[in-house]
Amino acid sequence: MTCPNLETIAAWTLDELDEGASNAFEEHYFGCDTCVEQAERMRRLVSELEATVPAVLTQARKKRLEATQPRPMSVPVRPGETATIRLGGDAPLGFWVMHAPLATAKRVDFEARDASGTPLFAIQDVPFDAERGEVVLACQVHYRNLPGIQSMHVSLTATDAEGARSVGEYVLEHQFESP
Amino acid sequence: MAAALALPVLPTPGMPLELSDAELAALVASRESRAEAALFARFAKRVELYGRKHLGSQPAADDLVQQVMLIVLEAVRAGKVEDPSKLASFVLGTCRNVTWDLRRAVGRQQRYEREVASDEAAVSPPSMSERDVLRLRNCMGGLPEREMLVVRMTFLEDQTAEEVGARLGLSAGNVRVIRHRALAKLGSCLNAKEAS
Repeated sequence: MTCPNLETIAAWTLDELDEGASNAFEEHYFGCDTCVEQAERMRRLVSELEATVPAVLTQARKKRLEATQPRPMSVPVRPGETATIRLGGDAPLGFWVMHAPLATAKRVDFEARDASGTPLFAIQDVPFDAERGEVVLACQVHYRNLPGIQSMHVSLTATDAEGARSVGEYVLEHQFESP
Repeated sequence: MAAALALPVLPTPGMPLELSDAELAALVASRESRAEAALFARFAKRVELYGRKHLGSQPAADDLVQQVMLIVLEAVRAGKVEDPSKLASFVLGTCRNVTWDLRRAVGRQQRYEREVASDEAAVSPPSMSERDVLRLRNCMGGLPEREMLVVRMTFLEDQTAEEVGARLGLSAGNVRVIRHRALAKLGSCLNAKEAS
């Protein structure tokens, strides 16, 4: 067997190769320094992706992160409100829990702008909890260097059977302790 | 037989080790202690990778490394490896056998832990450095939109291939293929950033 491509190594790492191909790759990499290194890098990449805290969280991911120490702070915020979160020191991670009328929503889009209205980032089709009417945004201490993060203006747009509509505008103030 | 080989000279510490498996096995059989360390260095990472994939956790993979390398070293020392030129296959075969035993033990341990542990038990917080996060984020930003969505839904939103497929109008098989392609691109991007 010659060295397989990275896609095959990715499939092996995720346990998504059929048994024959998986066995063949294992027979190969046990004698191949290059493939050992590539497989190790791929395993590290998958671990890093799994350890990444996404910007917008599912309820399941939020619950898992709430079990970490120190327990992240949750700040609820309703449409039209301004709220503040403080991060740094022993609070590296916090959650904005943005409330909105989402009972009929099929899809929710997220957009963040700075105080002057300049777009910061937008994420389409984010996770949301229709029953609770919540979108959870994670904020980490290493966001402190992002331009415009101190006062972030967020808008949520929900799409349902009747089309797209704005369901909430929020001003999220961030205060970071010095590292 | 290992004893029939002329014993090669080990390179000085820190030098690249270019001995064949058969040469290394012969040195181990002759009780050359540096050869044992070299054999461990050659195969431990391979065994650990195998353990991470098949046993699913780092502690279990570490256990596998210890058990496999002990069995392999004892077999090589005693000249019990039938064909030393196929030492890699011998290590892999040992890996498979020990993994089978460990899986049964891990299953028992997990059942025990489920009985005694609370759902609220603390888990480790994310441990990536700021630099790692930025590096990964930059590479993800370079993915085509559909690949980025599949990566996001899989790894950041914990969705199965079936769930991702239902949202994007794709079959689960297609989602897996897109995911493998995206991981390959991310891997190449990270390798390039590391090299630059």
